[in-house]
Amino acid sequence: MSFWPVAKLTFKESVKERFFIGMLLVEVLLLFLSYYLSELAAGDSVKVGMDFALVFYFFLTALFAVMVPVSTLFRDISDKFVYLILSKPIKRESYLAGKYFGSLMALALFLFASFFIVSVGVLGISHFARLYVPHVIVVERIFLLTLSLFLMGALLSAFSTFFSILFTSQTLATVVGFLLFLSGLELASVKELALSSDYVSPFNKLLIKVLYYFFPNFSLYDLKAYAVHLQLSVSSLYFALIVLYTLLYSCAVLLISTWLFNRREL
Amino acid sequence: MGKVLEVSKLRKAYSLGFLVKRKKEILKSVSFSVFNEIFGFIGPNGAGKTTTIKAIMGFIFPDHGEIRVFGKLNTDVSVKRKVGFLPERPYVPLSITGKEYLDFCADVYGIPYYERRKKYLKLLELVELVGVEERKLSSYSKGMVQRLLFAATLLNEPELLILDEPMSGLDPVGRSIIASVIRKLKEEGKAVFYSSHIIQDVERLSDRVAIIVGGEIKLVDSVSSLISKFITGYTVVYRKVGESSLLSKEVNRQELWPFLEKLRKEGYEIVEVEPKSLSLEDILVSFIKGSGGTV
Repeated sequence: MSFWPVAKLTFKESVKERFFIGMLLVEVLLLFLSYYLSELAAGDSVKVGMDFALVFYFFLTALFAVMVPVSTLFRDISDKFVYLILSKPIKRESYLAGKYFGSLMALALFLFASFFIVSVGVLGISHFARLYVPHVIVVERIFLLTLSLFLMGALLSAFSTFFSILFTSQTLATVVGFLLFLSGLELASVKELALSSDYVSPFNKLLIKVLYYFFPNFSLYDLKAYAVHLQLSVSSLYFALIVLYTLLYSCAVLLISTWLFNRREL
Repeated sequence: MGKVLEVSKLRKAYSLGFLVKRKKEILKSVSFSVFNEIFGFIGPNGAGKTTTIKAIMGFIFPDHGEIRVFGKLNTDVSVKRKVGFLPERPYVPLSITGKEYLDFCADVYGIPYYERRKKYLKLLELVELVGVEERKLSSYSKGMVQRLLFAATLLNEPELLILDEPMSGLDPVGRSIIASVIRKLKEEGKAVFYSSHIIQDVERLSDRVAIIVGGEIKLVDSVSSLISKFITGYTVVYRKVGESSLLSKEVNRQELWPFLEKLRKEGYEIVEVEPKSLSLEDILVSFIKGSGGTV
């Protein structure tokens, strides 16, 4: 359990940073923006407003999940705090696991706070738009979206940990992490499009298939539509499968990260 | 007396250059042993002091050689329970408080909560930081952070303390605090291995020193024996038998015995013969110049 002190310290360090409060404030500001954008919508203004609010929620979570592990790991390594930690009876793998779990704990707190902010915001949008939306159902759906965002954050944090060890530049690790997230969101659509097209060669179709199964698929966690459109539903099997997917993929990425970190000179 | 730390034939080279790689050897078969003593590790900048310490702590991997701490390989994490380490210019996340950092260390060593308060107080008294532990580290001066981290390295009551330039960046008060703690640890029978470029401190504190220049150990010896080997001359204080006024003369090694003989024959009484030696700093400089390095 030598990873636990590192996890606790990483959590304390992360939530005391200005970045943490800053992200929550941005969340609030974006909710106000969503309300004003919903006012401009020609169609169903509540749904447009909620859509915007949840899109911002989705992307802010991804940004948080990329930036927290990258910044704490990079600071530890570049400022040599890692020397103080690894001079104690802590194995490198425990250190890395501690950093990862500490980041996840910070993400959980961020999502917990965000859940309240977003729920109040979304209900506020429907209230001000003077349209009735069943509150309990909306909050329940936002809660399920929050859980899926936590799973997405867990996988993204594992990749951020990996990039922090792979690259020697914090900016590069952050940019690559976020690009991976964006490509992971679109990969499923690209695959669908490529496989149904007659203009894509069989080799390229195969390549796209391989890439699709190799790279993480972040569109699996995208339950925004489910949260907004009350007629949609998510089965518990689907949810269980994305939990399993997250666990397996994150473990694989963290194992590779540990292998690399054990060979890295500090 | 058992070996606390044993470094044998340590070699380390780094590859330099982007396209055309060339190897630069940083450590060239470094060997020394540390017993229950205060062991100073001195050398000019770039001599390989920090690289040696990093290899001892397992932060870098030597190309060749072996490091044993309390008889076990340094890669065995369990030996770190008995070791305290303070790197050069240490950093800690400034958003946490001093107590939170101490709590982190106590968590690592499994120190129960009911023992912590007493331990923290004792250590904070030692480094004169009582009353600031609840403050964020961002409000500490550099010297205070260094003293806090030094105190934290003592939390597990280490048998061996490894310090990389512990005095650098400290004001005279901070240096004196660290020096007195190091002496206290020695009295308690613990070993302290530290690098420094403040030679006066090393001369004052160390039982033995190793001089490293250009990645090679030039000499390992006790400070007193080292200084006695570098005696450049003597000051002879003498007086006429029955007279009170003292006379003195400085002579070199070769002149000493003939001069004493001459004084005896001429009826002088020899009051004192005081050796004049090079300081440790002069000795280090002579080694650096002897290896073609720059001071």
